[in-house]
Amino acid sequence: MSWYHIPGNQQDTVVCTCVRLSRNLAAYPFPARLDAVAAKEIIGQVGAVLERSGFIPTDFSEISRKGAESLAEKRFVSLRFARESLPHALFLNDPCNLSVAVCEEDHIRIRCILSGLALADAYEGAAKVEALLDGALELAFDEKMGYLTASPAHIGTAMEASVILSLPLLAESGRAEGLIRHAEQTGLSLRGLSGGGQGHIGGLFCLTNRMTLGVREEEILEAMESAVQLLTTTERGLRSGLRGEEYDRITDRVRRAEGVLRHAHLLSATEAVELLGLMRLGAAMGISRGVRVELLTALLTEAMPATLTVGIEPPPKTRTDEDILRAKLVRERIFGDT
Amino acid sequence: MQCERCNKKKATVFYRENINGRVKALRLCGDCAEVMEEAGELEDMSTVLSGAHSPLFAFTGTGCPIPLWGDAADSSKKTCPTCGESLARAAERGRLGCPACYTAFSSELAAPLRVFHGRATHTGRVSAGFRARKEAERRLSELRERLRAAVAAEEFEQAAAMRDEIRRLEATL
Repeated sequence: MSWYHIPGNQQDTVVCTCVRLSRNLAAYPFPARLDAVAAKEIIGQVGAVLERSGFIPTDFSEISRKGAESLAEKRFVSLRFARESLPHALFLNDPCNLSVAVCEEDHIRIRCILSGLALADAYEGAAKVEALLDGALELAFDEKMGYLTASPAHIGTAMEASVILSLPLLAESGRAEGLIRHAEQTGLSLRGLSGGGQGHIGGLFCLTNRMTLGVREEEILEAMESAVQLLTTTERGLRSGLRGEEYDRITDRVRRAEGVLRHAHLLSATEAVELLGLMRLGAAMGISRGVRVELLTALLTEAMPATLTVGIEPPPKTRTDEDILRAKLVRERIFGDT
Repeated sequence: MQCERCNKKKATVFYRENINGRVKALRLCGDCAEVMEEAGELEDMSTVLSGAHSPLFAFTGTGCPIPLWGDAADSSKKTCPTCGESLARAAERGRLGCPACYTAFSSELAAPLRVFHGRATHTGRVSAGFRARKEAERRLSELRERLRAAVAAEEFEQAAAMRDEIRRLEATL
């Protein structure tokens, strides 16, 4: 069981929420300047506190590269961290919604990831873990600059809140660019998941806060919450405003997506994200019946390259083998077909 | 934070502009932002759009690194006395070497931090450990003051107790 198996609030438009708190130990250089011995010391100190509270450690030297990348796909660590050579570790709680990455870009990165829209809960979750560590270790904190981080772009609260949104109609409406600018003006950043060119794959967007200094955690969350409301209200307005031919065209696209997901023999990761996005829209609009949205959320992770193939023996040799596996997984999970 | 234009409503829009290196930052309420935007008083800044990868990895990173220092940093020979990181290298990587670099490079960091964050002073959560250290320091200076007074008044028994308490506190810091 992981965070992405649990139904979330407003999941018609919101995929998940993550709050990340970055912390560093006052007595050590930031990870980029650490040697292996010091990195292991930090892992030991942080681990001792977390393991007492029931967190389970993952030693990156003992798992495959694919296993590490899968943890990045589940959003527990950054991809760069998963591929890092310096000793580093990850601690996870049992329901797998709290993670602590040690010796990532900062010494400690606490993440709380929850399904759907849950900014306040995600912050509370991350803050509780922070309180455990703050009592036991001396954190790098300055009265004027707040929590000190390796990148000056994160000092102050050292908090990054992010919400992944599913806004397929907004992406196509031509209004996305204006909303991206609006987010920028309110100190937030809205990025579309793009395939390198134009367009937004699967209608997915990521909203994060940019500024961290001189603004309280609660203010960041408030700004995020209002931006999410603006985006989701706009998307819902576009959905409920569909009439006649427009509605038929969307219905057709959703049904075609279902058809491909049910019958395809090969399915690339990008195509899966695109079609799952359309099915999510179909489920929210009542076009696709009997589909649980949380299943579509889970597949956004489970059908990604590393998570899909980790632990599979023998591992797929080619991209085609991987695409066959993905098509099969999606077919089984959504339609129960074998 | 109130709107800097009408000084009445809560500021919800943060605006930054950089014209030939002159940076202007404004915090406005929604209404004032709209009025100024329509009047063309707000020059739009270029937006940074990243996320060019597929599949979902584009969302797992921390976004684009921010170039925080100007050309002056590149030619600087300054280094952090604690970790040895040079200002030039830190500027190039967009990352500092250790927590003490913030003090070592404070004069070079002040302007870019203000430009990026719009503010210069932390207002959020305070580390519990830091609060405890501050409290111990405050208590220490109070005790030292009282110790001086006790010695002056020849209250040696009290002074001895205070000295023990001071030693105990000093050991915790």
